[in-house]
Parts: sequence; C-alpha cells; structure tokens
Amino acid sequence: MMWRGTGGMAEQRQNGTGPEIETTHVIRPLLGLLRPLWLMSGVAIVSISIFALANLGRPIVIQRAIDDGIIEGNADAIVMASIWFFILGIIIYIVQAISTYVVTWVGQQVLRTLRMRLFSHYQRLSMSFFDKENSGRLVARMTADMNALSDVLNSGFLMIVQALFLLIGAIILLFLLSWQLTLISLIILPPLVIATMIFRVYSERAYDAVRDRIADVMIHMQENFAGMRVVQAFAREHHNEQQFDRINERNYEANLRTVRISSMYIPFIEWLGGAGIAIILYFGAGAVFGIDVSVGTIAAFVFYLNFIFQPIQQLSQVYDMIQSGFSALKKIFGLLEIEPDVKEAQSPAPLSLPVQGRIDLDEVTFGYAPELPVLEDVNVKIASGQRLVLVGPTGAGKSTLAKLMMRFYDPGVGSVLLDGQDLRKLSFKDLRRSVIMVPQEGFLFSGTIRENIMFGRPDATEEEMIQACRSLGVNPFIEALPEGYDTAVSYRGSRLSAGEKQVVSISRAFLANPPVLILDEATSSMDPGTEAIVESAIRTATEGRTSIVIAHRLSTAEHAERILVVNDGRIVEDGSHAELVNAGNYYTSLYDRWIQHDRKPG
Amino acid sequence: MDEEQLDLKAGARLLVTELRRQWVSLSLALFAALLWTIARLAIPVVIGATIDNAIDLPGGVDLDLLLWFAVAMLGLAALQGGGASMRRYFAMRTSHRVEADIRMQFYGSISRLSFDFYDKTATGQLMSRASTDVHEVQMLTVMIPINFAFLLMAVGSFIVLAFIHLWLALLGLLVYPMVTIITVRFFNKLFPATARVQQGLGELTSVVEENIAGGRLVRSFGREDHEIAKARKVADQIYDDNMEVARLRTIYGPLFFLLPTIGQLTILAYGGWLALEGELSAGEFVAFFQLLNMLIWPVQGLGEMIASGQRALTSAARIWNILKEQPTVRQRPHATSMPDGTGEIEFDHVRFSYLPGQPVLRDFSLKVPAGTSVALVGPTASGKSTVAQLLPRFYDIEEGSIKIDGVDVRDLKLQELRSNVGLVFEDTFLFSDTIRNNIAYSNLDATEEEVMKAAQLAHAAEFIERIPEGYDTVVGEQGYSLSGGQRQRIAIARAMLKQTRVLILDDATSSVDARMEEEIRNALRIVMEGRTTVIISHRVSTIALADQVVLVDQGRVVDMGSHVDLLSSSSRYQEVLGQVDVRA
Repeated sequence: MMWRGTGGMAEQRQNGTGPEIETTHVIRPLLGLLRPLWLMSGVAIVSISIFALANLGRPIVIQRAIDDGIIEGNADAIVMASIWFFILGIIIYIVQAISTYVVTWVGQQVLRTLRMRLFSHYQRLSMSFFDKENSGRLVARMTADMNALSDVLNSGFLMIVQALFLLIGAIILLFLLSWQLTLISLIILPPLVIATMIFRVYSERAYDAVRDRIADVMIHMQENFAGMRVVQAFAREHHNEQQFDRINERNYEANLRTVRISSMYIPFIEWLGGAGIAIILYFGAGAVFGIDVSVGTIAAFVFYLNFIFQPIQQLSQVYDMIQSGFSALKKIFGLLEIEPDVKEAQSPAPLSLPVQGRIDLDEVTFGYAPELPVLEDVNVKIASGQRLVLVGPTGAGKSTLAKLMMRFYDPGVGSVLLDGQDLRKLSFKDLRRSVIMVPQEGFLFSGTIRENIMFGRPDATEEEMIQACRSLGVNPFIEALPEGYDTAVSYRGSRLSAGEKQVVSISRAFLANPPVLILDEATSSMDPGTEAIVESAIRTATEGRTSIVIAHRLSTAEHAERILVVNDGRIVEDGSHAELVNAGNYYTSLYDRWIQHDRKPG
Repeated sequence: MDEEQLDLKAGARLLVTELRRQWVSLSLALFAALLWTIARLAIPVVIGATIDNAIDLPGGVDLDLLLWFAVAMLGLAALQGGGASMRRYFAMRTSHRVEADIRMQFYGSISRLSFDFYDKTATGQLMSRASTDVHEVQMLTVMIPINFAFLLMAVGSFIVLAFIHLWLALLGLLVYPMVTIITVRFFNKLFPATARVQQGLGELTSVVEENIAGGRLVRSFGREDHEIAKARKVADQIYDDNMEVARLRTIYGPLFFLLPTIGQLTILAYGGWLALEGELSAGEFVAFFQLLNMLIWPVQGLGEMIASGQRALTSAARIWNILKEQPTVRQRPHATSMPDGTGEIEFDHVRFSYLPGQPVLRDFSLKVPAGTSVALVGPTASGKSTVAQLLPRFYDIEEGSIKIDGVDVRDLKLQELRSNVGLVFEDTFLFSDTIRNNIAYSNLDATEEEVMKAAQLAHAAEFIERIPEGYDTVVGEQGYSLSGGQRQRIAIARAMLKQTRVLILDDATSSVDARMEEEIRNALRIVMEGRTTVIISHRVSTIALADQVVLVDQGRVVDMGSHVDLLSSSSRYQEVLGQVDVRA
C-alpha cells in the first residue's frame, strides 16, 4: 500500500478543515499577538489620528486666508495662514512617515510570529492529521490566509482609522462652520452611501467570478503546458485550443462585467460630487433659507466634500478586506487549537543504551477510522538484529504495521514496544534516534544530493557521508550523476529516476545508523543495473541491525531470515523462506507464480 | 532557457500590433479621456467665476446668475462622470482584450511547438509568462487613456493658470522637476523590492509544501527543528523585504504630499499677497488652489507609467521569445492521409540525436510486420524509448527514414499519424478532469459502455468503482490522488479505448505490482491482437508477450529473435536482463 493511497482514502472519510471557531475566540488570540507590540501599536494609532486632524485643519486655514485676508484686505491674516499651512504641512509629513513605517512594522511582526507559530504547529501535529487534511488546504492557511491578513494589517487597519477620523472630523467641522449649510449639503450623503453599498455587493460578486475564471485559465494552462506531450500524442491540440478559447473568453467576459458595474457607479458618484458643489454654492451664498456664509466658508465646504466622499468609498473597500481577514484568522487559529493525536509522554522513560532494537507488537488492533480495523490482534516479537521481511497483498496492512513501529499512530488496542518499553512512554528524541524508516517513493528535499543524505545525520562529516555511500556500494552510482553529490534535486521536478531516489533515501537512513531500520521497497520496476545496486544497498544497510523490509519483490524475501505474510490485517504465516515455500499456503502460491513469470535465474 | 536574450524592440512591436488591433476601443477611450479632462478643468474655473461674478459682489449676491452657475456645475459634473466612466470602460475593454488575445496566441503557439521545446523549457517558466508577464502588459495598456488624460490635464491646467496669472502659474511649476524625478526613482526602487517580497512568499510556499509532503521523513528523522529553522530563515527574509518596502514608502510617500504642499504654500502666500494688491480676485484664488493640484498630481501617474512601461516592455519581450519559437516538426505542404494497411513499421538506417553531436540512435534499422509485436530490450540510455518517440514523429530524424505501411511518417498528416499511434508512457499524465474523461481522452466519441469496458480490461474498474464518486471522481493535480499503478491502469484503459493501428507501451506497467501486472498482461494480450505493438519493458514476463524481441544497444539493433532463443544464444541479452547474478 502506498503512503498516498492511505492518505487519499482517509481524506475521503473525513474532509475536515479543523474546528470552526467563534469570532470572539479570534479577538483574544489576536490581542495576545498585539500585546508585546502595544507601544508601537499605540504610536501607530496616535500618528494616524494626528494625520487626520492636521489634514482637516487645512481647509480652515484657507478659509481664514480668504475671509480674514483677501476679503478683509488684511496682510497679517495671510501671513498667519501661510505659517499655519506650513506647520500643518510639516506635521502631516512627519506623522505620515511615522505611521507608514510603524503600521508596517507592527503588521509584519504579527505576520512573522503567526507564520512561525503555524509552521511549528505543523511540525507537532501527528501523521493522522495529515492523512485527513488536504495538503493544499494546509498550504493555503500559510499563503492565501496569511495574505488576506497581511492586507488587513498593512493597509486595512490604517485606512479604517484614517477614514473614520476624517469622516467624523469633517462632519463635525462642517457643523461648526455652518450647521444650516451642512444639513442641506448632507442631502447627498444617503444616495452616496446607498449607491456605494449596492455597488459593493454587485462588484464583489463580479470580482468573485473573475477570481474563479482566472483560476480556470491558470489551471488549464498549467495542466496543458505540463501535459503537452500527452496532448500531442493524442492529437488533441485543436480540441484543447478551442476549449482554452472558451475559458479565456469567459475570463474576458467576467472582467468586462466588473467594468460595466463600475461604469454605472462611477459617473453617479462623480455627478453627486458636482451636485454637492452646486448645492454649497447655491445655498451657501444664495441666502435661501436664511443661510448666508462667507466666501471662505464656501471654499472650505468645497474642500471638505472630499473628506466625506473618499472615506465612505474607502470604508466600503476595507469592509470586504476586514471580512476576509477575519475569516482567515478564524481558520488559522482554528488550526492552531488542534492538538496532536500522538503526544510525547510528559515525563518520558529513559531508554537504556545501547539500544538493542527488540520490537514487540502486543495484541495490537488498529484502524485509521476506529470502526474499520486495518490490523487485528497482531502479536509479533522481533529479536534484536533480526532481518524481517513483510510480504502480502496490497492493502493487507504491511505499511500500517511499519507506521505503528514508527509511532506515526498509536494502536487502538495493545501496545508496541521497543526493548520492552512502550513507545508511548519514550521521548520522541529517543524513539526517532532508534527507529528510522525509508519510505517507498524515496522522497527528496530541495537541495543537493549531499544535503539530502546529510539529512540523516546533520553533524556527519563529508568523509563519514562518503564512507557510508561507499560501504553501501552506491558511491560510483552517485558520482556518475551530472554533478555527483552536488547534483541539485527537488521534491517535485527532480529528474532522478525512482531507483536513484531510492539509493539516496537508503544512504540517508544508513548514515543515521539507527538500531532499527524500516524499509518500504519501491514497487516500480527499475532497469536491471539500478535494481541490482538498490538490492545490494538494502542488504548492506540492513546488516547487523533489526530491520523490517516491506517487500514487493520476492527476490528480497528469498534471502530473509524470517518472513511474515500479512493478509487482511493479520499475520497468516511466519517462518523462513524454506519453511514457507513448502508450507503450501499463500506464500507458496506467490512464489510459484513468481518463479514462472518473473524470476531471473541466477 | 536561462540567460535569455530580451529584444525590447520586438516587445514594443508586439504591444503596438496588439493595440492597433484594438484601435476603435482605444480611440473611444482616448476621446472619453479628453471629455473628462475638459470637465475637470472647467469645474474649478466655474467655482472661481461663481464666487467672483455671483457671490462676492459689492451689491450682494446675484441670485439668478448663481442659479445658472449651479446648473452649469451639475452639467459639468455629469460630463465629468460620463467621461470618467466611458474612459474606464474602454480602457479596461482594450486592455483585457489585449490580455486575452496575447494569452490565446501564447497558448496556440505552445500547442504547436514540438517536443524538443518542452524538453528544454520548464512549465513554471511558461506559466510565469502567461500570468505575470501578460498581466504586466495588461496593466500598462489600461493606464494609457488615463495617462493621456493626465498629460492633457497638466498642460490644460497650466494654460488656464497662466491665463489667470502667468507668474503665479510658473511658480507652481517649480516643484515639477522634483516630483517627476522622485516619482520615477520611487517606482523604480519599489518594483524590485515588492518583487523580492513576492519571491519570498513563493519560497515560503515551497518550504511548507515540501515540509507537508515530506512530513513522514521529517518525523522519522526527528528533524522538526531543522525544518523550523529553514522556515524561519525564509520568514525573516520576507520580514526584511517587507520592511525595505516600508522604508521606501516612508521616505517617498510623504514627499509626494510635501511637494504639492510647497506649491500650495507658494500660492497661498504669493497669491494671497497678489489678491491684496487687487491683481487676483477671491474666486481666482480658490480656482488657483484646485487647478494647482491638477498640475502636480498627474506627474505621479506619469511617473508610475514610465516605470510600469519599462517592466511591460521587458514582459512583452519575454512573451515574444516564446511566440517567435518555431516548431521543429512541421507538417509538409503536400502531406497525405494514412495509407491503407494494418500497421507495418519500418525503421531504415535511422540516425537521431537530441543534442547535436551526441547521437542516440545510429544506423537503427528494424522492420515490424503488420499486426505483430516486438519488445525492445536494452540497457539504460540504449535508445529504446527514443524509438517509441520517433514513430508518432515527436522528433524528426537526421538520416534514414521511418515508414508506416510504406509511407514515410514525414509525408503524413501529423494529426492523422498521431491518432493512429497509441502510446502509454511510463509516467502517466492525468488531466484535472473526471476519470471518465481521462479515459475517453483518446476518443472523444466513446460511449459510456466503451469507457467502462476499457477500464475493466485494464483492471482499472475495480479501484474506480471503489472510490465514492466512481468514474465521476476528479483526478489530476487538484483532484483525488491515485497511486502510480492506478494511474498506469487508467493510461492503459485510455490506449485500449482507441483502435489505433500501432500501439506503443513504454514501461507502461512499471508501477503496477507484480500480481496486478499478471492480470493486466492478459488484457494487453487481447489489445495487442491484430495491432502492431512495440513493448518497452524490464519485466521478463511482459517481454515474453512479444512475438519478437529486439536487443538494442548504443542506438543499434544488435540481436533479434524470440525471448527463449535470445536467452540461450546471447550473453549480452542475459546480461541486460540481469541474469548474470551480481550477487554472486
């Protein structure tokens, strides 16, 4: 059974995203994050409010210049106004600089902390969690959700505080200048707010559609570029081109829809702005309703109009940003609340050194979902230094047995013991130093081959690493790669074959030199040369230590000391090759078939 | 495609060609920009005129005139709104049309290219061009009309200002060079900085993806702390890059505010003095204030466009580098349809190399009678997979000829040739689509029964039916993950669904475990009946399916015969099959 296979099945059963948590539960941890940053957060809020106030002061200065200076013919008033204008300019310059920097600083501190907290949490969670969760979704917590949060912290927060101060301040000042004119001017406010709200709803929907459509475009391209060889092999270029044309046009249409919606909103808002000016001019100076204000006041009103229009539009933009920021936070904190299933013992029992490598499975029953047991009542005693091979059909439970020995999961009933100690009582450090597994597909991390092998024991020297490869007999093989040990690989786009990956994987485990080695053989066929190298490396690596090999080739089983045949979650046969071949059971039939078809006489 | 040459001129040509194609929509956008600018310039003038002619009069307010001015104001506001909306609409329409057209061309161009291109180009490279670079071009295009308006606005506001008071207007211009320099410098610094942030975020994504994918190893070796340190390094880098962006914004952002303020201060002090002297009316003073903003503010927009224009040109050049690629395998002008026949294959003295001077096949000759099967056996890099790739003409050979039913593959219509050669690759590519559609990929007209029949034959039906959504399950990168063996069985079903003349199985069962392979073998036997089949495999049992075995070494056929014959006669054959026991 492949690792991925189990993950896939489990995922189907439980497609969870972690617990949904209440909005109030977000506030507390969020404040917790901000608490160490309280000083700078305070500085940010103060500087933003000073910014807004200073901006609001500017029209007043101009009003004074016009009314007291120009209209009254008073030169001192103009000088005073100029000085005030200068002072306000400098204040705005300074607080704008402060708030820009401080707000980003606070935001980035929070994001960095949260990113690391989430990443560390991923390291603590158990494998059972990763089987249930779609990895794409876990990555999205770190990318899309963090970005949504980053928008809020970097600009959303600043925009809200600023817009609120400006809007409220402008309205208060207008009332102070002339409450009558303000009341009349504010007629434009309801249509402005309503139009903006309606626009938000429709445009948000339209933008959602754009996001979906552009994702379609990207997915289609990604897939076709990656699979173009298949496309051409099946002569599907024309068909796919037509298909892409449709997807591409749908994206274009979705984009145009957003523009059409704003084409209705924008002229209305701009016209409303003009209407506001007309109202101010007409009623302000017209002495209708007995309002008669100065020329300077009219000018100030015209300037203040901007402080009402912009914040309302900004607030509506920020609203969506805040919403997605909150839902991102909910998901992130929800994830952080999940506790690992497999927990390290509070006060771990010491493991006496040197580790013998004796493994016992004592009446173990286990299922990924409790109601569907994969292993039932398994009893196995593996002596120190024994070389054991697990054989059995796909899905029999061989890999699960191995995973229990690694303590990726805890058994539902019974216990797994290392040197007589229950794995649950050992520290992770001791356990992981003692039992190491080579997975089937030979996973490679991005980096060089050297780094990948050193992963097994980071403090190993270059000589030790090369010596390890030499004793495994894989040294010439690695040196034959384009850049030898410096050949760059990545877990995705690696050009190494399955056999080459397996070689690196075995070397990595061998360098770590664990008392117990678990090895899941690759199922894919390799070319005979590579296969021979891998087989001999496995033989060397398992020498002199307890080893459990999940065999997919009977040539591996043939040479083992002891073979366990696993079927339907039970150990059905146990013995040496010679014993089992003659027993006339499952193993015998398996072996006969192999002899007939695949065996390479040697 | 590292160290690529960028031809900016060709990039510019691509942009101009695309814009010319959208000239109607672009012209409408520019016309709307003109209307919008006129309205915007007129509004402060009308405000000023209202104050001077209807409000600030010695004899009090002229109510009739005031009403007219208010009405004029409403009219101008409508013109401004209409112009803005029309400008935006046509600008977006133009830019998204350009975006869609370039993307379509790009896609079509890649579809037509040959395998040698895919060998040297990473998918990520193509994707970044189709997304980021196309987006850059779109962003530039959408900015053209508004920047045209900005240009008009700057010139127009200066003219109006000069009419009101020439010296005052010139004074307002003083800050102009400063704003221009600062804007261009700011955006030129900002873009690389934000690009670094994006790159860092991309790195963090890879670290997380890799960490989750390799989670078992990390736990197995107890390397959690090492992983955390790795992530911390990237997170710190993102933090530093973000703070660099913040520093740039902190330095430049407030300047964009301060410089216009200096201009306004000049107007306030000098203009106020002029007003006291009687050279400037109160209305003109108010108008001046607003017009000055229109003089300075466009500079920022233009500066952004200059910086964005540079990037868009680079992007266009990067796109052009793909568009200009020519397929190396092209259908000949007088290509013929497939001849009648049942799939006789003949390789005649074929020489081929992927890289010049390093021939993979040299003097390769092989004849496979119609309806029979042949297994190609050979050590790694002997050229056996290459043979499979040449038959459907994924590459063109250098010397010799390859014929199907007596006709050179280069003389056949490409689509027809490929529809007549079925291929199962070693690593199966599945599209993000349902299992049903993935199987029917080879034959769009296949009925439901045919699909299920093929799946049964390939022993895929058993696992497909166990998955909750069965044939409707979406697989591929975004979908349900299947094991290597399961994927291969789908690919075999895919090949079975189409009755092609020739079938090539290139390591098609490598990931299927031995027991399953035995069962599939029976299915393969059925499919091979009556078709010319080329099998490439390491498994003796699969090789034994073929009528004839060909030993390939160093790009040549070195031996031929039945599996049993070769076993006894050829020591090289035994060696290649691993029969000389390396354990001995």
